[in-house]
Amino acid sequence: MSLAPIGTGHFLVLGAILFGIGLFGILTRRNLITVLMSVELLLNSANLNLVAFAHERADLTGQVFAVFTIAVAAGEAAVGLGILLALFRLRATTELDRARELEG
Amino acid sequence: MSSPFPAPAELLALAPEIALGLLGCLLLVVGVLGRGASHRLAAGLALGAVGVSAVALWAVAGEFGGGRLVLAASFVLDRYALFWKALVLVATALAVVVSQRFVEEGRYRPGEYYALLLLAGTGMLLMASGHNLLVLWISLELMALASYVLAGYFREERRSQEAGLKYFVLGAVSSGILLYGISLVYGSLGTLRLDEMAAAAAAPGAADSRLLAAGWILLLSGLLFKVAAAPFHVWTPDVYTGAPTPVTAFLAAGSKAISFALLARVFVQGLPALAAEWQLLLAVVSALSMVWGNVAALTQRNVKRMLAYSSIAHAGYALLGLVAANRVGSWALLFYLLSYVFVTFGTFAVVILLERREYAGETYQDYAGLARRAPFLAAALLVFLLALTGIPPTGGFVGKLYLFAAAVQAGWAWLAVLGVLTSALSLYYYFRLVVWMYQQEATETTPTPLAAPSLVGAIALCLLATLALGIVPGPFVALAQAAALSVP
Amino acid sequence: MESYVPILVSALLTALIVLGLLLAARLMRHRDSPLTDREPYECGNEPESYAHDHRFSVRYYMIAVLFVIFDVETIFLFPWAVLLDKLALFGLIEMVVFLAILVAGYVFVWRRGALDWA
Repeated sequence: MSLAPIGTGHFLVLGAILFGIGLFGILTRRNLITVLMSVELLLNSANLNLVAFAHERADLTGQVFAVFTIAVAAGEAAVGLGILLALFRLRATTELDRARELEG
Repeated sequence: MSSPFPAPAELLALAPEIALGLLGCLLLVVGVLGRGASHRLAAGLALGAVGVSAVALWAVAGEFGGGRLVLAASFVLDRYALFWKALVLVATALAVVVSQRFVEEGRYRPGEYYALLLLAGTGMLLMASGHNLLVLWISLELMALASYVLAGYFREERRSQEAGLKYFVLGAVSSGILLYGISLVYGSLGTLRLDEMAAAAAAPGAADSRLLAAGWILLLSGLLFKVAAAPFHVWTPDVYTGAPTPVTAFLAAGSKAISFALLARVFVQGLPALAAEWQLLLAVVSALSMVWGNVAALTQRNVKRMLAYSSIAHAGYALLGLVAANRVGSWALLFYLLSYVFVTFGTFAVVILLERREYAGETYQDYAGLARRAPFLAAALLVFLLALTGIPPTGGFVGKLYLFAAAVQAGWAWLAVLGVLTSALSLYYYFRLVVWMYQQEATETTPTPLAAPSLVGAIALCLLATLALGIVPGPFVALAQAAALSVP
Repeated sequence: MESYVPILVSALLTALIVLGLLLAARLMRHRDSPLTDREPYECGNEPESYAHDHRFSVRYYMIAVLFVIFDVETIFLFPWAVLLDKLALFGLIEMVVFLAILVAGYVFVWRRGALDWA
């Protein structure tokens, strides 16, 4: 008795679930730190897809892409935290709802 | 078999990007090392960097300009890329010039501001040449990350900070969606190279793949966010209003135009097999943007916000060029955006001259009597508004004419009619501003336009370009045609 | 479907063990638990205050930002190091350029005062 081998499909489903959680988090949470974490989920769900496809096709391109994505995600996190710091210094909060000078 | 590593000589094709990026880093370091570095010096260095990059572009155009694929086919310097790179350098230089007053007034370090502009410009240059989704995504991110910081650059002013925050959150979501789309496209086609993508998608049965469909729709959504087309435009009004005005001009002109360049390259070059499908989707988006942008602009009281909605509408017009699957459409898009960059920079430069700290001077009332107090500025703004509406003798008119003609030719007559109708609608809110300038008298509270020779020079240049594009469009049309034809 | 039976069995077993342990603990523990049970364990010392009463200084975020950037960049060093002999001199020069750009960032951060704690 053996388990069905884990294939690309499983990774895609996991990636889609992570993507959904990330999107849900961004749409419903109002705390910038939580939103940042959700963004990381979005990027990493795509990463998982890329690596899974690269494995399936025995092609390194996807893995190389994933390495670059990790670096870009770090840059994005840094910019996000920088904006968070500025928000905190000016308004003493990390809640997005407090930023509403503009009409939208 | 050749070595998998690119020949070092091929790196020369990247000379304009390398020059701009490295000089940007240098400016960053010089800005903190020099004690109290002067604002003018920083601006001069930034302009010099753009100049060096332009010279480098000139130098490599001959060697690599024929559309040879270099660096493992991830980079291409065809005439299309050269066209956009030249436009990006012009936009970056204009952004440096119109920023001067803002940066000098602020309490923030000038080196950082200009360095960020240059790095965003580097990303844009790369976006024009990417022939691989990986390169395109990373260059897009380079531009976007620098733009988030630029939009929130006045970090102690609540509106600018909020603009940066909103731009970052929504921009990050769009990059996530874009990347997820790219991962699915990669999974279904097995390649990231645009030419191989086109071949793989043309294979029998490939176009029916649901994975591919999900991939390109997500990819398209992410890119439509960057060009601020409805319904992916929600960030635009707040970010454009809150960001420092020179940054708004840079986003509205440079960022939008180059994102269009990328969108067109990915879909025209990479996914022609699915043209019928993405064109249908783009037609809907185009119609939505034209209607939504123009209707929402009608009720605005703040000029920057009105221009933000108008930029959404213009994204809709430009999309017509992609919807129309013919040669006219492809170069009409280029011509239209060429004219749009100059018009946008000119308009925002006038806004900058009237604007004050704490965001006074941004309402329609503040333009009262401008024609009497500053006849040149009023006349220039009048021409820019004519161009935005699409009235001769301006580049905006010629661009719209070709776009509508292309749409009609391709059988999208209803879209062209919608374009004409919404343009007529836009006449109302653009000319409300003209009425304030020419028919109303200034009151005591009306701000006096600043005397800033560099800004007036930039306005004059934009004015000249707008009129030239409208009166003698011939050579520019030829340029746009050559550029558009170089993309297979 | 059959292949998932072991997972089901293992999940059931896990649930049973967890429930059993919780039940055992419930049966054996003191009814009137003294206050010290609920306090965080700090090497046997009585805690001076609770973590929730403090906000971490915002400076930690600054350090976190810088750490994330410089830490993640090492990801590019690994593949380069593995292929160093094939990349030869050209690869070495490329990596020097990459590191020079990082150092430029570091100099900026340093001179800008982001590393000063006070």
